[in-house]
Amino acid sequence: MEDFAFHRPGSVAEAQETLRGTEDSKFMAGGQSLIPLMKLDMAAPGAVVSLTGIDELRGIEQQDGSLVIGAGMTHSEVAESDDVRNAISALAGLAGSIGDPQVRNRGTLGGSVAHADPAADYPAALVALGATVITDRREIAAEDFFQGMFETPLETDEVITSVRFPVPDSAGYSKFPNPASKYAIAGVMVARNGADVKVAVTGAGTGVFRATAFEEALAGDFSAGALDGASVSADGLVSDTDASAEYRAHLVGVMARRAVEACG
Amino acid sequence: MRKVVRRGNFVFTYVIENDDDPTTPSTFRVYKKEGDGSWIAGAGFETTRPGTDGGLGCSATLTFTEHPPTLTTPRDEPCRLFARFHPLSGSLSMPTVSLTVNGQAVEGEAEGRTLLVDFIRETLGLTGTHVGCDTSQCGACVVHVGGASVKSCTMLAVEADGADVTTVEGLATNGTLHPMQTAFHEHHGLQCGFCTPGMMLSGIDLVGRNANPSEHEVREWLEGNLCRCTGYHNIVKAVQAAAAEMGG
Ligand SMILES: Cc1cc2nc3c(=O)[nH]c(=O)nc-3n(C[C@H](O)[C@H](O)[C@H](O)COP(=O)(O)OP(=O)(O)OC[C@H]3O[C@@H](n4cnc5c(N)ncnc54)[C@H](O)[C@@H]3O)c2cc1C
Ligand code: FES
Ligand code: FES
Repeated sequence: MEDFAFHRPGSVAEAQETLRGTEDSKFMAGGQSLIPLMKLDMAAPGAVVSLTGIDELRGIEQQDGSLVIGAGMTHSEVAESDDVRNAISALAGLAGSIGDPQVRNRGTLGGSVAHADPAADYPAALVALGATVITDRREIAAEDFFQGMFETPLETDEVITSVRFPVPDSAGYSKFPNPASKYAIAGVMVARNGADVKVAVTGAGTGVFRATAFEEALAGDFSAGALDGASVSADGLVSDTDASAEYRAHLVGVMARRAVEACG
Repeated sequence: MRKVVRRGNFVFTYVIENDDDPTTPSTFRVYKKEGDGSWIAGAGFETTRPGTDGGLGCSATLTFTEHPPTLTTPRDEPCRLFARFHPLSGSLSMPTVSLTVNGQAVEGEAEGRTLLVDFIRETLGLTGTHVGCDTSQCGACVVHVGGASVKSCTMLAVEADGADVTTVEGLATNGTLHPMQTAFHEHHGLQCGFCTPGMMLSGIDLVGRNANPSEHEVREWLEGNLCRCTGYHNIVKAVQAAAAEMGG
């Protein structure tokens, strides 16, 4: 790993000022994606600006039918929060299914969203729940935010401050995890608001996507059985040592049924 | 509150050659080596040599605004220098990390990139924390930071500045084993022992959150701790027995 200067500012404004001060510097939250990348020399920032000392990025709040979660909240904090469990238990469950306890104790919502790993769990929740990514300068709808593998519209000095999740009538998440890392080989989040159903798939493609055929089937009849006969195409899905595209397409169907059942 | 680690003054010793009058203040630059092997005078590296402290082997404090500074000079291109000095003959003073480890205040130097596990093992000499994979998978390096278990191979030492850290060496008190250690002993929860420190620290974090974990909950929790010897069975039993002991 290349050496770098390390800063831990106390506010978002100061973090941005520090970031702009050194070429090639990077924000770091829990470091659970960035440190492994730096070990591989796939990232070699000149300076690391830690976001862990910033109070503005913390907290979980209920706001007119929505849950606003600070970007700096760790996966453990989200999983164990009574507010999250009561409002969107599937979201707490999803956070608690990430990696392992030690990864969850460091890794954050903001870091996961900014990193936009195609096999990460949170993107499925953001898209299915119709969440909004809030940054220091704008609000971006989840579907516009995730633009494919590690691709987001974030500018270099832009900080995600929180994510706003509208509370649905019901939601469920199910994933088929990689047995070693727990990243999703296929993960499906289903959220229902009256007759409106959203089904978001992570892990199977090169980025999170909506399974519209499933959404249509579920809009008329919200039951696992309604998905009989519906399927996603293997075209464009990922084939790797874990699973072929065809197997992933099959898994998406199975996970979607389980997610619907989990909605209760 | 603002904490800035690693910025500011770096002290190094330099030797000036071919300098007409070493007692006169002169401006020199520290050069930076580019990827293609050429040297450029780094903007932000310029400083004024104090004039009074003699020629050979004098030292100066440079304030670098750019990072990382490369303290090497192009011996082979003297014409481009205001003053010529040897490649670095001193060392950078590194930032100091101060933290509490196993109840004791400790301090040590760490580079930005120094991993917490290396700081614990090499700087502090506490070698009970192991490195099994260095890729965040195995959990042999698990320690507690602020009471929560973390993989110390996936955290920087500078991030632990000001924190309260517990390693396996801090579990026993006055020669009495921690209930988790006793349980691993009694239930034969280890064979080679390589994974054991991480297993125990992970287990203690679980019991802190869930005083009476089921077998399933223990197995789920130990997701990030790999053991190549035991088959996990006795480890799970040990954690459950320790939980009963710690609660009661
Ligand atoms: C062994 C292991 C298993 C894992 N398993 C899973 C899994 O099952 N599912 C899953 O979803 N993830 C998994 N992860 C990834 C984990 O969830 C990470 O925590 C997450 O992807 C990144 O969060 P972080 O806070 O650690 O971010 P960092 O690693 O600190 O940062 C990641 C990126 O986000 C940027 N960033 C961070 N915070 C912000 C912000 N507030 N605003 C703007 N940019 C920001 C950084 O600059 C960096 O580019 C795993 C990781 C490990 C090591
Ligand atoms: S050495 Fe840290 S997880 Fe393996
Ligand atoms: S006892 Fe040998 S690795 Fe666990």
